[in-house]
Amino acid sequence: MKTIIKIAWRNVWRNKLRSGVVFTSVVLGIWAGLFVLAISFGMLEQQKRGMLESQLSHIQIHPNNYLEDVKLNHQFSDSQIKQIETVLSTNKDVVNYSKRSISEGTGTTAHGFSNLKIIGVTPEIEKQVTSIHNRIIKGSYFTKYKNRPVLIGRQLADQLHLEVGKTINISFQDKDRNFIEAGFKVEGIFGTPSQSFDKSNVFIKTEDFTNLIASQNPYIHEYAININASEKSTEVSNLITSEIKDATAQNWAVIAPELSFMNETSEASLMVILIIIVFALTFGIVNTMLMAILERKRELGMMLCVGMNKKKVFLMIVIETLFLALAATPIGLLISWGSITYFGKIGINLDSVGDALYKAGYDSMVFPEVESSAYINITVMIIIASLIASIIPARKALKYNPAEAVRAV
Amino acid sequence: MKKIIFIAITFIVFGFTVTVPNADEIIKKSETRLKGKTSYSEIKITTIRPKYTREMTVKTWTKGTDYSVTLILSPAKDEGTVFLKRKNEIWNYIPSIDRLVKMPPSMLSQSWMGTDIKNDDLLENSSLVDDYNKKIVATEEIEGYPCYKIELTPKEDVNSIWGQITMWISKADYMQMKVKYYDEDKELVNTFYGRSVKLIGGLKMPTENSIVPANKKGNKTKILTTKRQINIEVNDNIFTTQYMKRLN
Amino acid sequence: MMILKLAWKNIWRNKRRTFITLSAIAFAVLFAVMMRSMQEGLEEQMVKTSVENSLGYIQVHTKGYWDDRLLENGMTVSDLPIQSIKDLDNVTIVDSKLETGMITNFGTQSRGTYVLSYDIEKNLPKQVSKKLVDGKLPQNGKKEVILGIDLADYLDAKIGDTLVFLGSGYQGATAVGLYVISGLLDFHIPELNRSTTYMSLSSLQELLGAEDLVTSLMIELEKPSKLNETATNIKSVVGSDYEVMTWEELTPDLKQLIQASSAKGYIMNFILYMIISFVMFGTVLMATQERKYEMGVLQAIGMKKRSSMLLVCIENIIISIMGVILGVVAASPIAYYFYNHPLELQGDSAKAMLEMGVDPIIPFSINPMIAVNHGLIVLVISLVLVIYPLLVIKNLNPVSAMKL
Repeated sequence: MKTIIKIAWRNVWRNKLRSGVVFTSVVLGIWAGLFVLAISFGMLEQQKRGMLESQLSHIQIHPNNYLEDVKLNHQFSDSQIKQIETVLSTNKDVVNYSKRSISEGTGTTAHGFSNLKIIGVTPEIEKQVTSIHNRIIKGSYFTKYKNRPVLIGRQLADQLHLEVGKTINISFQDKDRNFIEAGFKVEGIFGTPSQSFDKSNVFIKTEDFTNLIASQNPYIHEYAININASEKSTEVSNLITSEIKDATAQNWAVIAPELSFMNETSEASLMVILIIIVFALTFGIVNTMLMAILERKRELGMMLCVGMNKKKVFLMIVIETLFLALAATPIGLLISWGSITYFGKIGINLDSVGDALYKAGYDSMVFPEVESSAYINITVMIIIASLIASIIPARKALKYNPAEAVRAV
Repeated sequence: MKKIIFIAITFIVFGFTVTVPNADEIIKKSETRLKGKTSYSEIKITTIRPKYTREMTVKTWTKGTDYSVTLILSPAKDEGTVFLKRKNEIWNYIPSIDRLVKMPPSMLSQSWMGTDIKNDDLLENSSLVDDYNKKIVATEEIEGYPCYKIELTPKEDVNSIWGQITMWISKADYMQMKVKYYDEDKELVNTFYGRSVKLIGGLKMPTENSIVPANKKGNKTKILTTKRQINIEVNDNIFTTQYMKRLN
Repeated sequence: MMILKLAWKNIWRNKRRTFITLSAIAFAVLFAVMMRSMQEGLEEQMVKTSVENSLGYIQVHTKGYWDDRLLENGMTVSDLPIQSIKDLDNVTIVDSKLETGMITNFGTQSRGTYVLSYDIEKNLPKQVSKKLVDGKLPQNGKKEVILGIDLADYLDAKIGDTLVFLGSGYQGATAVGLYVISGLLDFHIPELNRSTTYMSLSSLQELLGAEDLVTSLMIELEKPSKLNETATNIKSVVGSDYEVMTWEELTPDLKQLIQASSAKGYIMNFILYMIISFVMFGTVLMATQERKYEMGVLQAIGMKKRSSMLLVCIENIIISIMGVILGVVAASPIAYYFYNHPLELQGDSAKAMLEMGVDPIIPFSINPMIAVNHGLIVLVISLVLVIYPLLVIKNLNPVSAMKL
């Protein structure tokens, strides 16, 4: 056994060209697999993060009666507000939070109407929790107009022919089911990754909301909370729920299940792509080794003549491939990690389609990233593929007739 | 000598301020003279479009600026339909399905019954008197009547569908002879023409009026007032939703 | 001439080597085509779902309707050359659509809604029936409607309740009617859930007071890739009084979303090509090494280097072309199979897609241009790679080459 290993090792160095090819194939395979994964995962994460930052936050709290039946007068009671804010300020995982007033309503201009979700926020606080202020495409974030400003989404602006400075009439119902209507001045137009969100959500100031419903105190229907580690969101939301009365804290996966599903749908097509890459790689190794066997016909024939048994020849070829694969692995991993980290920082500029992405609310830059487990998975996959790849040429070698082979040129 | 000059100047200044009314007063007089405390009118409305023409006859009662009720007499399909304004709510009774519907505010900028009159105008949601800044800019003659040309712009906090209104109000009798309505981009939307000044129910007023939308060739709404009375006896009950079915 | 004969003989002389090289090229084409087919299939699926959801691939309206959606800009069905449009190549379904904004009221609750309609007798938009979560579709002849769930919620109305619909009808007449809720729809899109009502075409025509009125024709295609061509044909059939718009013009937003997905696809493709190129290079490399001896002999017996190079070139060209053709021939039935039997997703991902109203399948595209394009790319790569053996021959020392 030791001899075979020695011979295999020497063979590897003897034909540098051939070894180089196999080596590089494996490196490339690892890099390709990881980079493809990184881009896919990166885009997905970006989108997910975009939605979390702009709309959802990690955790939201609502009154229980609001969860059952969305109505204006199902707001948090004063005691609930006190309790929730105490709990949130003492919880060490909570980074920040904001509170919102929400109502269903309608927005009208001369060009038509759209049924909306009206969200009343306190701009200075909301800014710290969500990123709408970073997604303002035109106009500003509650800094310019004093009198009933509103932020609307890009799709809504297009539909109702609105621009910064124009007025949209927003109506909703107060606690007695009377209609309230008021003109709001469009101060800013925002764009998030979700066109659906942009079409039917508008932001106004909580104080304007409160004034319109002729109330002394704001009606609060929702708390949006950011925590320090998104993986803990289920744990933290359960903890908060247990500490407050008649209200429930839910994490983003519960509130927007379609987000966590987005991961899964993308995975399927990714799987197919990875399979294609591994196949291509395997094929490459098989081909190269086959060609190598062909080239080494004489040498192999010689070995067989000299008395090496078939099993040993087989093992030798497999071990040669293994050496190359193992040597290539750390290099492949290093290059992958390097390129992913580098592009992860500066991003890949999809300039040609940048405009399209920007309008759709994405950034035109893609930031690749992978979970650490990916490195291990891909490597294992590639090594197994390499081993399997080596079997075919190895078997081929066994079929050589030693007498004939030795005379090959 | 000085004393005489002083008195003369005082008289002139005083007289001057007395004889030239300010824009606010003009508008107020113009608005209130036709309405009185209560009013009753019978009107024929003709909607003209390139492809068709529709005629409607209605009766309207008003009380102050907070209450008004309109009953449609013809065409047969719409007979018995009632529109009620109570403060800032509009209610609509539809006899064909025997239902009462409260109109959501989102419908305010839409047209009333397919005419060029907007729901908001019917509701008189914004009071010209209270909600607008007014300025006399010129005097012009319309239909032979010398008029004040007054520009109205909505005040800061007011929710109006119009960005500006220009009115020509006759110096004598304060009749609204012509009005131009502009949206918030200062684009002309509608023009109102007052024609055929007659004496009706003791009131001198233009009786054949029309609203012509800008930019829409062939579109026009004609408003013919056949009867009008002000300060008549009106039962407060007619301005309730319960009465709408029985209105006749 | 002699060289051609020689090249051909060489190819068949060493079947194993030829076969390995051929397969490298063929597989390259196969993989590239598979990947691209899948990506384009996915994109077509994205379009299909959104487009069949509401818009149709192509719409026909009165000129100017899309910008100013008033009923008076509607069309009379009997004026329209529907049969001529149907007779056109690639057109499968022509659906009449009528829609308008109205108020719906229940008790003290009123809300604006978009009332859409479909022809009960024919194929109604499949997406509508898929979104039905409760109750049934409106029955023919009955005054029934189906509503978005959030709209029903706002009105505090449920299945069996009677709603008032009120609005402007044809030629300004008042349109008013009572309708019973027969079912509820969940589009998974809040904006649609809050605003949408569906009723049958004949119901809406009756409500609006115009039996023959439609606001648009929705056209379904057999081959979505021939979009623009079909649109032009339709334009010549209907004439200049009407506007013919493709889904790309109707929702530029969707096109942008697809471009974003496309960009990702191209990056993946590029990475795959790097691997493919390398595989091909590796094969060429080894093949050349294997033939060094042979080349050395040829040179020794007097064959000019230039002739050897030409020989290798010709061999390469022949093998490349054969390889590409082989690859395309192998790829086509596979793509075709997955076009007819799309990959079905299982488990959580399938569930997710179903919830969003999307079929959990990955169909492959059978656009022949994919095979052509990628076949050509691989051919070019393969021809470029011939530079290596040419260089080797150029620098060949016959003596050292013949020493094994």
